[in-house]
Amino acid sequence: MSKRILVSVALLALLSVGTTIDVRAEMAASDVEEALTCQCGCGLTVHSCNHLECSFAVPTRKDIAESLARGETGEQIIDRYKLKYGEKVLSSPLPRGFNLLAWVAPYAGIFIIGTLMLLRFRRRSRQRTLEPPDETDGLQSSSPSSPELDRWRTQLQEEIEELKR
Amino acid sequence: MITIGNLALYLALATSLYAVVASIYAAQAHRGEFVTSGERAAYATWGLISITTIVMLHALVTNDFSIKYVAAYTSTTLPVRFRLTALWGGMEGSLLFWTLILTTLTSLALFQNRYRNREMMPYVTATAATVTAFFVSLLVFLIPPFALLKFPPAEGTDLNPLLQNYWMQIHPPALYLGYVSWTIPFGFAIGALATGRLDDLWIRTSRRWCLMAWFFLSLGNLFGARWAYEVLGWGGYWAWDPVENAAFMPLLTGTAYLHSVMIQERKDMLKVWNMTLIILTFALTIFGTFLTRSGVISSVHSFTQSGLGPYFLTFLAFVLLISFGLVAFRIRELRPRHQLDSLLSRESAFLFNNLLFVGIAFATLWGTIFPVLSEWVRGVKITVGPPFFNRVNGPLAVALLLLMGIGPIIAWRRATFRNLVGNFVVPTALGLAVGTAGFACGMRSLSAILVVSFSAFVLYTIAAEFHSGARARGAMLQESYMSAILGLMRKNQRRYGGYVIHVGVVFMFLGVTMSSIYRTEELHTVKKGEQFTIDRYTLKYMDSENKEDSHMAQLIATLDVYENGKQITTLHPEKRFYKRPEQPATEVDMRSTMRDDLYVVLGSIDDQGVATFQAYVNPLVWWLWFGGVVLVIGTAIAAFPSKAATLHERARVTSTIRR
Repeated sequence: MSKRILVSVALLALLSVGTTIDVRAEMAASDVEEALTCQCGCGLTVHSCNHLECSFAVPTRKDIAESLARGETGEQIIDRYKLKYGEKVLSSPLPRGFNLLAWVAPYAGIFIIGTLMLLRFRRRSRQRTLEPPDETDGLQSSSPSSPELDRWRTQLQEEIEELKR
Repeated sequence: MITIGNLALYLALATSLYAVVASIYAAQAHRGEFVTSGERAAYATWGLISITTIVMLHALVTNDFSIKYVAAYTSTTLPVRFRLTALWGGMEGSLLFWTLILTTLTSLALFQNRYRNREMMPYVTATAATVTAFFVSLLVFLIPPFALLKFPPAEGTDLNPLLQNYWMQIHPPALYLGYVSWTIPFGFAIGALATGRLDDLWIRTSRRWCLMAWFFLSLGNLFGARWAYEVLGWGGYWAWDPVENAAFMPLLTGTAYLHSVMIQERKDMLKVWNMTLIILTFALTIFGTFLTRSGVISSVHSFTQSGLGPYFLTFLAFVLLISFGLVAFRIRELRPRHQLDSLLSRESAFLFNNLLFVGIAFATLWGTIFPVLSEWVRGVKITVGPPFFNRVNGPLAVALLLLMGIGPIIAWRRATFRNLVGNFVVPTALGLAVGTAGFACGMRSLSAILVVSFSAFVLYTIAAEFHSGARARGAMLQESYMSAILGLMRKNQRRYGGYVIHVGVVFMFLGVTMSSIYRTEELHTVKKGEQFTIDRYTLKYMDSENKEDSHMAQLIATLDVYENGKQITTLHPEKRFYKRPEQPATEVDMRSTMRDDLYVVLGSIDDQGVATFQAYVNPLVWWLWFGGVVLVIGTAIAAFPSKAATLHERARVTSTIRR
């Protein structure tokens, strides 16, 4: 069971990273605008900049629309801006080199902690099978059960614990 | 007055330091009189900080421009309500306000526990007083709030126009209350570690404080989002700005703690994890203040750059060192008595929920600090903006939504196959049906389909919990259905209050997802009498009006709004120009309904009367704010002191005293 769950977690993590990293194919104008950070200091993307007469966002939006109409691809436009303003103009780091860390680390962290949790659970389960059963463990659902019965067991257990306090 | 303010501040530093020393000595030497003395010093600190704050408020209201802070953040034309809120408009005032909240809450906690938890209280006093002493020392040595100007100006620079808004009157106090309240549970955690009382006493004692901290932090974030929505005029409410992230991270770890603490109370498990979460949550509140005030990371929210960064980092390191040092010291005693029985159980659902909350917090922290890291390592400045956070946190948040539905219906300890089939078939089928219906109605975004499916799943499971409980109670006690529901909530406020909060969170998920994915926006330039269309609305530009007073000039446009040929409302978006500081600002106008918000920003009006409008239609965004209201109701249900809980607590205290 744990092995299957471990594999599922790994696949989920890979899938998430896969869907997270942007693949720039057939980008619409709004996608290109979202990929660029406005340089007016608002901290928003070119698409979201709230200054209606912004000296950066307004001409950039116009340029993006015209460039796409001319047949330039979204990636080419973004590369052009990157060349002109440096990496800081990109609204999110490109998943290459050192910047790959930005994308991978959160999922790697979750995967590592999740794996440690599962391994610890497996180790404890093995230890427990070698130990005698807990006499006080009267509510273990080893007897025939139904969802309704499980529910009552849970409620009973909660109320007993409440009374114990 | 200024001398009184300064004197009170210096004395507050002395009393807070004394509270730390006296309380630690009292705990170590078992000297009861020093426990009382330490607590009195903490009360005195509160009194002194209150005096300092009153002096500052008096200076702000009376425009005492000899004080640098007053000259920088007020003016004679600023309305009095904004002069009062200028207290948190700048660095010095905001830290003074922070300290006022901290000392007030400390005094409340000490008063609340004057007969209880006496063994632990010296450490709680010492912890809160240490934090207070840190903040007061910043005010005394580095950023004195009453610093004087050699040549006082006749007029002040005034408050930033963006802060002259109703939401800015309530957003910072709510947020600060949320941030600062975590100090009290943290103090109890330190008390438990120091005394070795590692049962769930500290958890039960600090439970309401945690709920309060979580509640105000949630409200603070929501109020901030509402402020951004109404004031910034970009049609959105959350931009993953570093300072927004700073307020979001402790909310995530705090929420994880509120969930995992239930496992410790019921199963005596996760003690180390809960300690870690409470320490991290408190540390993140300090980290948040560091982010806002250090100038290390650029943000539209930041206060002016200062040299406070290294002091905050040193204090943060001190907090982490002491806290985790104590955890390491008590690690044997923190071992759990019980273990997880199965991965298919409610306990493990809670664990995965914690993993996701902490994962989102880590991803947010990572994205926030990555630009600094990149500059250190590669010497290259980069931006980590909203697209990064949306893509990384989006899938994790959706998984969290799913777990919110699984948690209440999966069995404790070990779920059997029958339990899974019995409890999951109907909600899963409903979720699938809703997702399919969404697709059939033209929804093509996977995120949107998943969110509506999971929302239906979660809402069904919560409704089923209420229904089955009410039916059982009604049959047993011969109560009507409504009385049974109310009885259920009274009997188990925490559980059912929690469910109500979950309903609010589902509404928020729906609001955020739909308004982000299906937003429509249009930019139009029109003459008077002309109209334009966005989505199902037609907007006709009728007129414009100029207004001016000593504080600001306003340019107000009038737009009649039609839907299906029928006029439904009139909107008045504004462009303002504040005279001090000379700065333009937009004042959006909107028509908000449960279905969508029509949100209009006035760009400009030229000499010929030609106006430019940016209009947005944000579907379902109303549900985000309504979710906040439901969250308030849920928290009130969960936290409101009930008669049963009071009796239970009284019995516990009596039995402790008898022993």
